Order: sequence, then structure tokens, then C-alpha cells
Amino acid sequence: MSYLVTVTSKRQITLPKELMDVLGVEKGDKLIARKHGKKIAIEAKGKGVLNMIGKFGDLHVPKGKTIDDLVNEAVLESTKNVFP
Amino acid sequence: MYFLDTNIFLHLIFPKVDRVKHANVVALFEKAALGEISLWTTEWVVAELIWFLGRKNFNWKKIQQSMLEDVFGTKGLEVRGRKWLEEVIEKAKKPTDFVDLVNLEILAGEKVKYIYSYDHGFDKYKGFKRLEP
Repeated sequence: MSYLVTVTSKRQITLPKELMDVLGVEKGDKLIARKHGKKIAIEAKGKGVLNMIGKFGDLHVPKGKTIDDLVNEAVLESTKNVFP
Repeated sequence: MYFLDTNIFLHLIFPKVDRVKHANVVALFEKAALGEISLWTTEWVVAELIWFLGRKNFNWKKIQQSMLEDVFGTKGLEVRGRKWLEEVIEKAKKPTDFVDLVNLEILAGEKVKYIYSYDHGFDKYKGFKRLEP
């Protein structure tokens, strides 16, 4: 999603409603603005599942396996003591 | 209404596992946030997600906060049994507590007074007595 926004004389911009809805940003929320070279990235701290992206770091999935395989393996692992 | 499985959340959380699936999942949640579709999942899917993240030793406080604020705060996503699950997540102090508490809440709901289990971990909870066969 990309949007064209205008900077006002008071250095303010208006965020499109669609963008706020998607990111779960509400009036009064704090956003983090960062400079990346010539770009400005605005990081939302709104509520919503998109905030979970990358929050837990990486999950190593061996080649040829799926995330479901990992979940199933974890279930089997956890029951080893019960059903050795 | 569209049901979400656990792996949908996992592909969202861990982008590097499969970039294409991750992008598609993001697009799905964006559609829901915009009201184009309604997503629905159950307390068991969220419980499996919590259990899996706990099993992989991710920080429990972070898991708690993510479920309460991020998952439950998602526009266009309804979680069946949300209130019940919220209470269990708030009560649990670690992932293993969470799994026990899920069972205990069910036992309490069914007014069960005695349980058979070899798990001494249950002894710290009040409201019923643990028995061994």
C-alpha cells in the first residue's frame, strides 16, 4: 500500500483512513517516524495482529518441512514422557 | 465468514519461513481490517498458537501481550470464546500454567471435584482434589 500525503505549513500530514484501519491505529496513538536514507518510515504501534510480524524473531523450519510439521512434531515431543 | 487455522497466524508472525505465504496472509488480514471479509477462529486455535510459541521458548510476557492486544485487537477477526481465553491468558504465569489452566477452567465449568492424574503440578490449584489410580 502506498499513499500520497501532503505536508502542511505546520509540518503535519494526514494518514489515510484505510491505512489507519489496516494497522489498527487510532486517534491519539503514538507513531514512530524513522529516516531510512531518503525515505521516512512511520511505524505503527496500533493494535492488531499485523503488529506480531517479526515480534518473536525467526522460526527455523528445516528444508522440506512446513510450519504444520513443526507444530505436529512439537505435539509428539510433548507427549514423549506420557507415551514413550 | 472465513475460519483461520493456526498456521495462518504462524506464517504471519514468521515472515522468513515463506515470504509468499506471509504476504498472502498479510493481504488477508488487511482485507479483514477494511471490512471486505470477516475472519473467525476459535479459542482452540489461539490456545494452540500460544502453546506452540511457549514450546519454542518465546518470552511468555510477549506471548501474553501479543494475544491480548494484537490477536484480540484485530479488526475483522472474531475469536470464539475470547472472554474465557482472555481470563486464562491473564492468569497464567508461564506457558505450562496456561495449558493447565485451560483444563482447570473446563473442569470448573463442569463442576468437577476430583481428577485422576499423575501430574503433581495440579496440586497447587484449588477447587478439586488430584487422585492417582
